Amino acid sequence: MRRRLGRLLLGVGAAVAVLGVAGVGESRSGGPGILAVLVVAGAAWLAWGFVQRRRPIVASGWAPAIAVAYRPSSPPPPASPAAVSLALARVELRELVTSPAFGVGVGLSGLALYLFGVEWVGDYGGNLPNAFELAPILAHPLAGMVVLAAFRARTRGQRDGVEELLSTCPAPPTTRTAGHLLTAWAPGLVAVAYLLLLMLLVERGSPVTFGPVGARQAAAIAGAGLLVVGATALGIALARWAPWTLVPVVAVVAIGFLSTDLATRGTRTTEPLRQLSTWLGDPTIDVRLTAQHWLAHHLWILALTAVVALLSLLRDRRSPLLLGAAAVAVVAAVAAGTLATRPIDASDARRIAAMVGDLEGQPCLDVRGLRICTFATDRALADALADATRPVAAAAPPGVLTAWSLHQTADTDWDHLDPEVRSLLGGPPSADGVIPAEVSGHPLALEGARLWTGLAAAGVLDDWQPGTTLGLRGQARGVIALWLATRGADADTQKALTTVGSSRSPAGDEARPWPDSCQAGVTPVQWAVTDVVAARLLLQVPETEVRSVLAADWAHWTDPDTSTDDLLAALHRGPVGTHGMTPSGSRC
Amino acid sequence: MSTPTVIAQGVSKRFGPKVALAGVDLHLASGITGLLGPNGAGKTTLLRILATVLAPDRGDLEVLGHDPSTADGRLAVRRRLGYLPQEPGFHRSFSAFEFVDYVAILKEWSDRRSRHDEVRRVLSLVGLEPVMGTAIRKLSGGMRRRVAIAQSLLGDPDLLVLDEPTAGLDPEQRLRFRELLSAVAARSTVLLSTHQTDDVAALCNRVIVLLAGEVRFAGTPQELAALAEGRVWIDSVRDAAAQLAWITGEGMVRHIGPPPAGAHLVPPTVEDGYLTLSEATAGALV
Repeated sequence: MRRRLGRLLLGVGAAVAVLGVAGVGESRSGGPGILAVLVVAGAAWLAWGFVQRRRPIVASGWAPAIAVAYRPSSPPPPASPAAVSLALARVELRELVTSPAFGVGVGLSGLALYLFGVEWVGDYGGNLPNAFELAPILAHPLAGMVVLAAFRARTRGQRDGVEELLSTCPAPPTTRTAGHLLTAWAPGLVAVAYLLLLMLLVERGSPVTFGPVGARQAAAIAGAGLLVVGATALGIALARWAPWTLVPVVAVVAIGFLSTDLATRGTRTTEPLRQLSTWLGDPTIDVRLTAQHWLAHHLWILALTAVVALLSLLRDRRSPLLLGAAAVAVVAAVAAGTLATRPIDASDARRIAAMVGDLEGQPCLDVRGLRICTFATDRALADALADATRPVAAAAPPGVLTAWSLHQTADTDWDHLDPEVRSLLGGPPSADGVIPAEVSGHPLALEGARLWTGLAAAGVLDDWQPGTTLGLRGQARGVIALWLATRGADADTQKALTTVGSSRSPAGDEARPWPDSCQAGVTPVQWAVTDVVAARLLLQVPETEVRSVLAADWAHWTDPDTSTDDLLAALHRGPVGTHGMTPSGSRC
Repeated sequence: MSTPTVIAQGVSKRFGPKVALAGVDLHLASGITGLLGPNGAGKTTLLRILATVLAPDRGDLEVLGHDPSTADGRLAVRRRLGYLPQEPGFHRSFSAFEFVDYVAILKEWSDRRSRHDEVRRVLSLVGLEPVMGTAIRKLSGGMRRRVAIAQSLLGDPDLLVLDEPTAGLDPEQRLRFRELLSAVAARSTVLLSTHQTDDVAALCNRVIVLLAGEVRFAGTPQELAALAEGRVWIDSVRDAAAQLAWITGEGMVRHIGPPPAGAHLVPPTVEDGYLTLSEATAGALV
């Protein structure tokens, strides 16, 4: 077992070492160099394997006398092919899950677990349905390596020159193939366990989580397991039909490209051919606004798995039963594929249209006049947004935010929605009075919501038009917006919001309220660098004093003609002038 | 002769233009039959046909009372067959136990406990029980050969087909192997292909000589040796007329061929008989 574990860990180490050298997974926060540790561990295992190979050959005599030791035996009673396959499966399972290729898959999965479950866990924005449905993408490296592992397991006899001997055994090749197929559950189970662990990390690691987790999400995880089961069957089928070394590599690369191409087809959320990819998740949109026929998709993968499994058996035995089963599997695959690519159901279209368009029907929280409205299932998100914006709203005079609301709606371009949904909506929902912040549980989205709320409170959004950049150069209201955004924030966030050059600050390099220039399109507002400096100066003034000054003449301070230096003077601070501009424009 | 285990009539096999077997007739019964012949004579092809690895192009074959040309017949033969290929190959990452266990599973030994007992039995027969957990890649060549021999003994097969089983075995191991095989042959029919004529002389109750794809001799080892009767002599100097001559360990020259007058004839061995037969086939001696 130790020997096999070493083989497995060799694969894990190799995967991690290669990725480590490639720089994948470098900590964004400059945290611990876990990859360096893993690389060293991988190198140690490689060295251990080398030493193992150098160990001397074992030799042993042949004693005692055979005539004394000889005990006759007899052949076993003929066993059923199923019993032989099951017995064989136990051995092949051991070989499969301890193979270096499987180890590489486990290593890649472990790395993904660390990156997406720990290092980048905030990127899910706390959206659990999204996390569940994106997770199967992360099972693909394991699936790819399982294809290789299963292929090498089934071609081991040829590589080792054992086929001649094994061909004289009563168990036919079909029984052997069946034994290999019976091992497929294990990689599938590993995939499911890995993704469930990832989901647990996401749930535990996200500042806020929301969204319903139900049958569709459970099916997504089970579907990933099924995909890996299918990968095992594919590796075995390739071994039977094209047992040449590079075949599985070519197959994995080809399927990878094909799946990626299918999964990124078109711009609609429910592009029909997307359903035929090996994954459904779309990272650019809340999956609840998509209406994939997920059950049909999983049936499609199941049917394909059955097809390749039966193909592997048909290589050596073309019995009517197997041929019939293969025909049924092909018909099932066609039917499932057809069902999966059918147009969006009317009920789905209505549901999505209601989510996107019926902003008035959303349940809302009132935060000193600011309405925070989310999907009915996402109360936890509303609470998080309320917590983030409450200090901002509290620092502004009462009533200045009553005309504004934050709404959870389509987080994608209008054109990406399905035509059926667009038809029902007639046009994009009215943006009047809606703060255009990203509504998400991502820590930076929460920061963004604070700044957008500050901009709304300071009257900036009254003058702003979507798709344009509003210049706030030297205007006191821009400084007030930044100051409001820092209310209730921790020191790091305050610093980030008032630092030009901070990579995470909405007021930083790209002067972006949120999420970033790539998603926000044109940068909505632009400050003078000195305005940002002024905002930092305001942080040194007691909040009560600032609030008192602002409340005394809110209309004056939020007037575009009131300068930053006027505000500083009222707070007994020296002028900063008007110099420089924060960057603007879209820079991805 | 007891009931034949193998009956072959006119068995032929070609590989492209090369004739590997040309109408082989064969009867094998219980006991050990040695199969001799030079490289390329068709020994391995014949063994592969008997082991159901290959199908003959022509001819009739009955193995253990079954017709291997049918699927049912092959299955029945394989259930009672032990086979050691010339180059058996191994799953190198497996231990000796795991490899033999793997073969045992394919021999339909589905019950784990009894299978493991059987695996331990055959490994102990070849003296490998102490190292049965060692990876095969770490075993010496002779030990790997013994692993291969062990798997062929699983279930005490009725027919044991061994292709050069003693290749790579040291003298002690060869003697042990003889001891083992003689015990196995009490119950089974053994066909032993070898280049070791002393193994044949020591073990076999019958011997078959295959030359150029044809059976040129079938009889007892004594009968094979008798083919050289009166054609083997010893002298102190090499006789230029001899077809084969070599200096023995005692410093004398052993000759095979038409003896000169007054030659000191010695009793021939199986090797002498085989050499006489093979050279005669080549037209060199007679």
